[in-house]
Amino acid sequence: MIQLKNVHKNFEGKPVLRGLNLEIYDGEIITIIGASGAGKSVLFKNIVGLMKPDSGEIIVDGVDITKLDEDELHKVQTKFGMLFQGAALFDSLNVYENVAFGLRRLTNMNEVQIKRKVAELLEVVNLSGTQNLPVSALSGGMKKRVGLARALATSPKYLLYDEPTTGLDPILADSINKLIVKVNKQLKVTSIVVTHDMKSGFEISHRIAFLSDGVIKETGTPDEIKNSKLEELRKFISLYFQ
Amino acid sequence: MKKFFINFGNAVMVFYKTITSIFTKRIEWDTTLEQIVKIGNESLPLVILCGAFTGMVFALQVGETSISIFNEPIYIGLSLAYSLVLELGPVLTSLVVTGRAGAAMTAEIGTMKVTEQIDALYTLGSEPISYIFVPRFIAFFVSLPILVLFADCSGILGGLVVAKLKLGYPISKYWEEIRTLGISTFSHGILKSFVFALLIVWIACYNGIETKGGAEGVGKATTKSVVVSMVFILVTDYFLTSLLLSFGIV
Ligand SMILES: Nc1ncnc2c1ncn2[C@@H]1O[C@H](COP(=O)(O)OP(=O)(O)O)[C@@H](O)[C@H]1O
Ligand SMILES: [Mg+2]
Repeated sequence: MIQLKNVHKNFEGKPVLRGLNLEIYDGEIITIIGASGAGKSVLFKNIVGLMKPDSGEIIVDGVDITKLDEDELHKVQTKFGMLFQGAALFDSLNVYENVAFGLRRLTNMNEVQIKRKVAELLEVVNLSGTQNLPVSALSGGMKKRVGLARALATSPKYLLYDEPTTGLDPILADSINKLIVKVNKQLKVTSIVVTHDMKSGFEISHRIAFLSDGVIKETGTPDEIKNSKLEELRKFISLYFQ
Repeated sequence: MKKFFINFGNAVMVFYKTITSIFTKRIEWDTTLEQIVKIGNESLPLVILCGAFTGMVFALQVGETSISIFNEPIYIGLSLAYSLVLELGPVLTSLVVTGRAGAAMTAEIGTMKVTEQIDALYTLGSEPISYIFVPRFIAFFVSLPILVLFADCSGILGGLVVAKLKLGYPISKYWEEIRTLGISTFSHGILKSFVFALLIVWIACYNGIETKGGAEGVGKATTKSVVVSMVFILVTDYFLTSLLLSFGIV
């Protein structure tokens, strides 16, 4: 379980998170919605310990990661997999080495096992046979899928998807959404999703959290969120469902 | 001013962490080797070219000057050898390598930073110190002195060509003068190049990892890295030389 308690984060005096509280339960798919620039990516980076909040607690499986030293934090970070907004593939490595990156460093697999695992993962994301392609040869959608394969490789307990379907065509977006559900069901991976794709967000999530003005203003099941009495949230959703 | 000190403090921390990491953590030898090859590929032709022409122009200047004073060219090999091995070799090579490999390194790391590749390292069992910095520190430490030796040699050969063909200076005399170079003179130049290597790679890596603000930020970081590195090389050279001289390493 992940608990965020009263998390504050400023950038040069500009507040982005202002006392945010949120609980993420094991095994669920939770989608964070909110306007562009609301701080969704910043929230992700705080959860994973890539950014340190100015104040507040971020408790991952009972441990407040804001109080850990670098080596301890690094251990906790291996519980997370993250699909970055821009995929963040290592562009000096090919597809195979990208997917194998975590396997080489976090598992004791030998090269034969790594080869098999990478092929398996690429099949899951529908990119079989692309092992030797350089990152520069991939389209935006392919990059996201390789990024997902790379994040899945080390079997993380928590997977964070930062706008996994933005910029993809509807068919590809649908296949990614199905993948998120499949990964969550089969591997029991707790999934935290940021998306602007409201429709699929409501379809795939167990819970939805609404981020605005640096705090979570509402959480609930998709049905609860749809019927929320919060005026701001109703407006936000109706904008996307037009 | 306050920003400068914070920056400097951070840079020192990064340097300290990198050096400790070299001795305490697993080293990524594959990446290190890759970097050595890359630095060599990028800089060796340039270094040889610059070394040769520096030697050539130096021979010409010394030759013509001594002709105008003594009516004959004298000590071309001697003055060339000492200036090259003590100063021009290490300093010019470092400046060239800064502009080529150092700039490329800042740009590469800066791009990794702004495209979140650096962030991605953390959840994949790695982090920038051991994956990015350590291999590059070792690679530079190994490569630069070798590049300096290449510059020294090509400079001496370039000087020889000009001395012989343009000034009619006897080859045997030139070599005799070169041979007066002792091991201490060489170590003076090489010791300096070890320090310059750390300086270049440190500044290049630090500016890379501190990059902010997209592609434009990468451009800015690269320029800054090159300028700071060049200034530091020249300033450090003076103090380092004084230090080495006080230890009798001439
Ligand atoms: N590293 C940073 N330095 C300064 N400001 C930042 C940084 N990262 C994000 N911000 C600012 O924080 C705000 C929220 O950004 P972000 O979390 O990326 O929004 P989004 O909800 O669209 O993902 C933005 O105004 C952005 O400019
Ligand atoms: Mg974002």
